[in-house]
Amino acid sequence: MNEFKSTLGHIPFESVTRIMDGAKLILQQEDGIVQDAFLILTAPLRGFEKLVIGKDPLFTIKAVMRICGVCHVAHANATAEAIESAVGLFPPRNALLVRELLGLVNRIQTHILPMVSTDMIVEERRSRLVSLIKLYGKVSDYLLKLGGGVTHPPYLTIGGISKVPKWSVLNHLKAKLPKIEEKWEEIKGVLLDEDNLTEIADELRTKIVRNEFLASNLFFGDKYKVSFKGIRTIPYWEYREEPGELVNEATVMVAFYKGKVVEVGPRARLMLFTPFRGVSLFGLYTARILEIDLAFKRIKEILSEINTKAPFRRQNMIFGSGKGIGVYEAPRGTLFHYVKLDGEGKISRLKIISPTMFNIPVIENAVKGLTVEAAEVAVKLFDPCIPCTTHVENVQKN
Amino acid sequence: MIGLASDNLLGTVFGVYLARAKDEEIRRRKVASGGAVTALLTYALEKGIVDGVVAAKRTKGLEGQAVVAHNKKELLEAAGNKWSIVPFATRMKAKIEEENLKKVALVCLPCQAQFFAQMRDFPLLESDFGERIKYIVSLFCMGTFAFNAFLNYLRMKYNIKAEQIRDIHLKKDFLEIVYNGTKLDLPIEEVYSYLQTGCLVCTDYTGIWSDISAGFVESEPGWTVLMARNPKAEELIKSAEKEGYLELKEGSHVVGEILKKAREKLARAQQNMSYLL
Amino acid sequence: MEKLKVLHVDIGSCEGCNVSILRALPKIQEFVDLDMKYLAKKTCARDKYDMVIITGGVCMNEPHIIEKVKSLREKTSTIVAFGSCATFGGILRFCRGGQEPRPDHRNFQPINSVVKVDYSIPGCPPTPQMVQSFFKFFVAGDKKRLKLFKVYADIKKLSGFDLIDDIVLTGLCIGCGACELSCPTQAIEMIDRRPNLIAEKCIRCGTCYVRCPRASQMLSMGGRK
Repeated sequence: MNEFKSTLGHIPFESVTRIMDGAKLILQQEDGIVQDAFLILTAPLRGFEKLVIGKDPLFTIKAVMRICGVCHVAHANATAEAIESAVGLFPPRNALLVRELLGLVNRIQTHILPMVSTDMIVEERRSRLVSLIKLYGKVSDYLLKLGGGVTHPPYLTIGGISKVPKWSVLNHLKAKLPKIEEKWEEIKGVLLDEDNLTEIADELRTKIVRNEFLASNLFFGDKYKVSFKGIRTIPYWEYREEPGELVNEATVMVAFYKGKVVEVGPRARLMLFTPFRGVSLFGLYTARILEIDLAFKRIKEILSEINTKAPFRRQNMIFGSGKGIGVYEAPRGTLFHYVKLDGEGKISRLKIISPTMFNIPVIENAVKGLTVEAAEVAVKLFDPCIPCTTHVENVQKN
Repeated sequence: MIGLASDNLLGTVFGVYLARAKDEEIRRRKVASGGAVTALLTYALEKGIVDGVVAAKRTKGLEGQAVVAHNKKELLEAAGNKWSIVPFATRMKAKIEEENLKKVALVCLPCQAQFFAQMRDFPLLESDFGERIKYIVSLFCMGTFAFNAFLNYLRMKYNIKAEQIRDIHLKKDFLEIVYNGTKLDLPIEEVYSYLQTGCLVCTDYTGIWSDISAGFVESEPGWTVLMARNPKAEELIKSAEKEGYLELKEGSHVVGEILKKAREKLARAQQNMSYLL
Repeated sequence: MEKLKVLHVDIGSCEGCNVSILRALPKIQEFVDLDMKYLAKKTCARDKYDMVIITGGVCMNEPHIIEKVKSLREKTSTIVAFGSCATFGGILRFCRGGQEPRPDHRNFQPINSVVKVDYSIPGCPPTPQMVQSFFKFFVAGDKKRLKLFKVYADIKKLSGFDLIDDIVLTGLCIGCGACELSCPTQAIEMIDRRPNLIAEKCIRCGTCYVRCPRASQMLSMGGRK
């Protein structure tokens, strides 16, 4: 790790730090301080935008859920909204509530995962993070009961929710919530206890990063607050052309909003819609914790608003030509789906802008000036979404 | 096509018993057999070992539906030979979840036993309920009727209507149909073609995936054969005897007879597969 | 008892299977020493593993992924394909490439198209309980229970369509309803005691097929497929 050369053309491949199987983080350093960084996603591109073409909306929602096994609800919610608006369908209020609830449960799930793997907590206390995995299981029950599955929930479909939850089930879920919250409070104590935090955490606290933020809503997503047309995407290798042998294998697009680099995700949402001010990189960590708190509060509200006597899905859906946009605040940031249907109501175009596409330049900038160790942790704190990001097409190149 | 050693035909067997109910009421209802399954499950219910028994209950003709029995009375209502498969799985799941049962016993056929045991052993889906299944009791099975076809045959040939049928028993090599106060004996060969095609290629006679297999042998009328397939099942049978629900005797001498039936089913399956597939 | 040394490698899944494995951790860590990207800074540290679990399908247009899978075969005597993409192709069967920035990524295959697989566990995704159960049987050497997974290891494609073709259209279906209950996308409905496949909902995970008692009985007895 210490033999990094500072000339870009000569980055030895053994200095590559893998953060996940499908990505490479390459840090260029001088005296242990990061001068430049490349976050190159190399996961194979499965091409979901193409594989749904010609297919039925019902298939499409099942397929897009499988883009990501971590943020499955996010993709389903965004695509459902896009398809419904393309054909002028308004899902009943109950369906919107359940979708939001499933999304928030999913947000808690997703936020938990990087906490298990980042090195914010000192070695001796890390064994306590196993309780995070247990918490994951507990909140997952909400997805199972209301969505039909912990991963890729099948009840989430076009027009609403395909299975009406039983009143008794809702009550049961309501009754269980305080206990789960209690567990979370306990874990939160561990996560935020100054004595448990590593030196890296201290370093991140001193690193102030001022970014432009993009978020559409604190919880669900609001397509009227953001502009899909304002997004421009380019392949990674056009964004950073050198060194060729490195960037050319990237399987990802990079996105800009109104010509600017913007940060999306928990911190962006909290900065724009709450008094939260976490301007250092440590703010990414606290933002995620705060979002879990908020999610629990909102879930409680939603559970009492769902009315099992009212409908959960639209009847008599008619599919035909049209186009629509769905925007959802995925755990990792604002997610856009644009869909076009042909005269038969089959998908003729799908474009997905996933949050990490916005965040790649943000991440690469943010780690400059950090120690190599801290930089690695910082990247994980942004929680780049590898499988999703690699499934994205060039949207508006000309 | 099927390379199965014959000693595997019966699956893992921990112990074989001949059993019958001690309870007079159960025995009265079950003249032909020993009523051991009913007695065993009554024991499990009354001692709180299980909180429900899911079984098929014949509703009309050969049709049935999945019901949950909570006591002896309800068990007796569901008891008897099963000649049709109830699309059990989904409805059972609904029943178990509705009543929030935590430890159920299932009475089913070998194919269903296989499905439920596989679900219990290999929970592929989060929505599975394998952990709630405590005992799987499989009944010996030579096949189930494609009942619409069979009923139609009975109507055309013998003028017996579905609603007139009170009971059906498998006797030595004929089928006894009890209807309108009389009986009709049909040779097995005559009715085989009305079994479901899937059953004709099935190789499992006893239900090798179950915890307990139960059925009858001709040589021991009035007794039920119970095959325990694991220590847990063995314990249940033994303690039911101790608590005075079951009368038990050694049954290893009937294994040969069961094996003969199982071989018959296997031979039938092999033959049918060779021209079906 | 020495812990089983297990490596998990993802070659391009949606991460759903990975999360399942991670969630099983509290229950399996007693007898399994799991090397996984979520847990350690450096994975793949040992030369030999007792078992390698692979998730995701192989992108046949990426030579380095094919090489990687082959090299994993060298590292262990037991390869487990975990999840439908790794076992039967699953949703990846629909991939056809053409998407920017890598339109060349157009064909995905299950692991057993590239190397010999020892056990296949289908599911979209299989549950943490399944992981737990599998290890339990594996450590105990329960051959009878592992047999089905061994049989699936040689099968490259299974889906609701195969279930309909092989079991329902041949008349072998007995109407037990196992498939309906097993479908993770609700693509199967029982109508008049026979399953009806809602074709557009099937994502080809194969769960219904492996759960069908008729199909699994025939497969485990060395029938066709």
